[in-house]
Amino acid sequence: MNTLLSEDQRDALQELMNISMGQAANALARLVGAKVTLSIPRIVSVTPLQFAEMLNDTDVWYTRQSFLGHIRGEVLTVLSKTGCDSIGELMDYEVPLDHDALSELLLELANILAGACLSGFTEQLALNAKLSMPTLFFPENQQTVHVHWASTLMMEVEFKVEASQFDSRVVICLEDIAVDTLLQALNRLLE
Amino acid sequence: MPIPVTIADDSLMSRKAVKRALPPEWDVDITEACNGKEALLAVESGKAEVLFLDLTMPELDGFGVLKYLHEHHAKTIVIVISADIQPEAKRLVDSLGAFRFLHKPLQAEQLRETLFEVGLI
Amino acid sequence: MQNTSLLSKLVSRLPLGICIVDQSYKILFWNDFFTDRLGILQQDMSLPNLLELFPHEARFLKKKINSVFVLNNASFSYWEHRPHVFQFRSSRPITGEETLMFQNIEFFPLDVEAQQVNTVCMVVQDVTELASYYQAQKKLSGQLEQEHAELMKLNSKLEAAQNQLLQSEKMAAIGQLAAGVAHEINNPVGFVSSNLQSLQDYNTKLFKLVQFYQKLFAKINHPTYQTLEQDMLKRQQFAFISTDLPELLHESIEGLERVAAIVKNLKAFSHVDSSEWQYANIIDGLENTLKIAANQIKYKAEIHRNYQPNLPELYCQPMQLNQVFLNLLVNAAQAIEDKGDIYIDVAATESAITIAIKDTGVGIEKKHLQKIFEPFFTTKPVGTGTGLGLSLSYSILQKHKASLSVKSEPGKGSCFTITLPILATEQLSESPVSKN
Repeated sequence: MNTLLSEDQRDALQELMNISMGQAANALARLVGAKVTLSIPRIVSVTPLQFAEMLNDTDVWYTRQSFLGHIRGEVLTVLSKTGCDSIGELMDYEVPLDHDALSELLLELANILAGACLSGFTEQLALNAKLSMPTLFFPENQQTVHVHWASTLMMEVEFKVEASQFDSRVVICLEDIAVDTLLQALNRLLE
Repeated sequence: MPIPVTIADDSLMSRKAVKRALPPEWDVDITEACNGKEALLAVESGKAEVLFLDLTMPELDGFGVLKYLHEHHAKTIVIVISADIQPEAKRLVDSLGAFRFLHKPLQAEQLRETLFEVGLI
Repeated sequence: MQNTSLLSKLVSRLPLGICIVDQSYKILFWNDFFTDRLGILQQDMSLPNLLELFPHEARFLKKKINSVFVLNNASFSYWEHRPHVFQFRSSRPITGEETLMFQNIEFFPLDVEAQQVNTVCMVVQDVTELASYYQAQKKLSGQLEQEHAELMKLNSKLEAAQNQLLQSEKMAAIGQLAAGVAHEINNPVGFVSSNLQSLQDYNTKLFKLVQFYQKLFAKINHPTYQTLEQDMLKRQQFAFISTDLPELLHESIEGLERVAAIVKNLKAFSHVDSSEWQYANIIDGLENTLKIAANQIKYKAEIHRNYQPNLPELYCQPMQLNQVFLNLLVNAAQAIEDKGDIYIDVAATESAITIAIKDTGVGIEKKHLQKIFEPFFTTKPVGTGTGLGLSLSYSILQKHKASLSVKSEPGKGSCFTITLPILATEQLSESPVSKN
């Protein structure tokens, strides 16, 4: 799939991600009142195996939420287990977080990041996609991940909140069909 | 005589977006730079009376460019166009003497407004 | 117009609570579902402020709604975390156990102008059915987990019991074996012992005879024969034999005596010998034993007694128990390398008498603790211990339904504690005292 993207398309996609992630980071920064740093977005195509490997980390929490519209797919948010209390404190939660408060915090964070990423992204491409409510995701509880795809486009960016030890990654995964829609929209932008 | 303008951004698409957003009636001579070093080179060779500057770039980032210009070429009009829109970035950019801090994605009307304020159009 | 009327009908019939607020949290619109569930007849009142209507949840609602206004991004509330943000009546007032509706809420920007959110809409979804199902499942799985834990506990108890059973079976098997061996060995040991005694006797007589002949020979005083005699004595190493032979016999007899002692212990261990059951005073037994063991203890340790007065008499085999005390006391003394102390504590409760014998000796290594009650296990130098003392004690105590526990710290000392339950005669009679 990497080869499917021309240099210009890749550049454009990367820049779009940059911009929407910048918006997401700003949203998070405003909410927690601390500076958020961003990694350079990574755009890769992945196979189900590579995807499954990504879900092996025991030091993180995962959330997932799907989006529907012109483009369809799922947003996976990966949140570090360390630093949750300090970010909870920044977000006006009572710390130490109990079980319920922790999952509420994780879902709220995931929703903010994923929402800002996706809306920034789709607005620039003049596409629409509506996110469903996020849920916590425990990959280890899934015996086998049933996949109906051979390869997907994955866009990933890392957020770090400097005031705490917290970091998080947002991974946007597109359905096969959505990749075509995305490429068309990119081309319109590049004309 | 056209005004020398440099657009510094590592993304081709963003440079295109800036070009597209420039008012068509504005008579400019455009130079493109892919990183901070190229941007400074353009300034040094007089090709950047106005500099549209991205912040995250390879080689030398936008903050580095701003710092250099702040010390050596205070006359250059710098308009930062950034994806990093956190208050902290804006504060830093302002302190380094940039004229404006515009958010990506760039809105053509906003750019026109800014150019008008500077008295360029 | 047609469309607007259809739309408003739809909104009023939707199975979802809908409520729209402005930036000051004033309710701009709510649908019938929302008001019905609150028990409000809409025509009665003008639209209130959301936060005033729900003062208990005001802080949470404000935070959620603010985040939508600020971030221009939807936000969610989950029944798992906050089941009843809005005090809605249950969707199952008759058959359900719940009195309040479980709800998921989505907060989203409704009216947005130039990135500026003007109104926020809340959509409340009734998930009571799902929630109660989920909770039932959770309860069930909690029960299962608890049962599982109990089973695990039971399992480990069973395992321990089985280990104990194995241990006692092993003891019993060794007891039978020992009884057989003791019986078999006893006979040859008997006749070898008696033969050796005779041999010793004959030997003394033979030497006397030789001495007599030597004296006679001296009287004859014939140089040739005397040279012959000296030569013969030398060649047959008579001088050596005459000193070595009595020693050999003496050692053999002593060795055999040790064998006999081991056999005796083995017989005792396998209950070959009986002992009478009677009421007895434990302190008396201890004191008698201390007298017997005095020689082995007095140079090594000082005895500190701490006896609870007025102890009840115990139905037991006093002689056998003395054997146990002797064993523990001798062991304690032997554990002390130079000079130390032995503490004897005796105390009684309603149901048991405990005897603790504590020494300040070398202690028992952890790896040995498991084995000390096994027959033939000994750490004493070869020849000094049979390795039967503690296992013998163990089996005697088993007959008394008593327990023997040990705590030990290498370098500090050991403490053996006997707990003898105070039982009625018939409770102990099931251990028949058999004579093999």
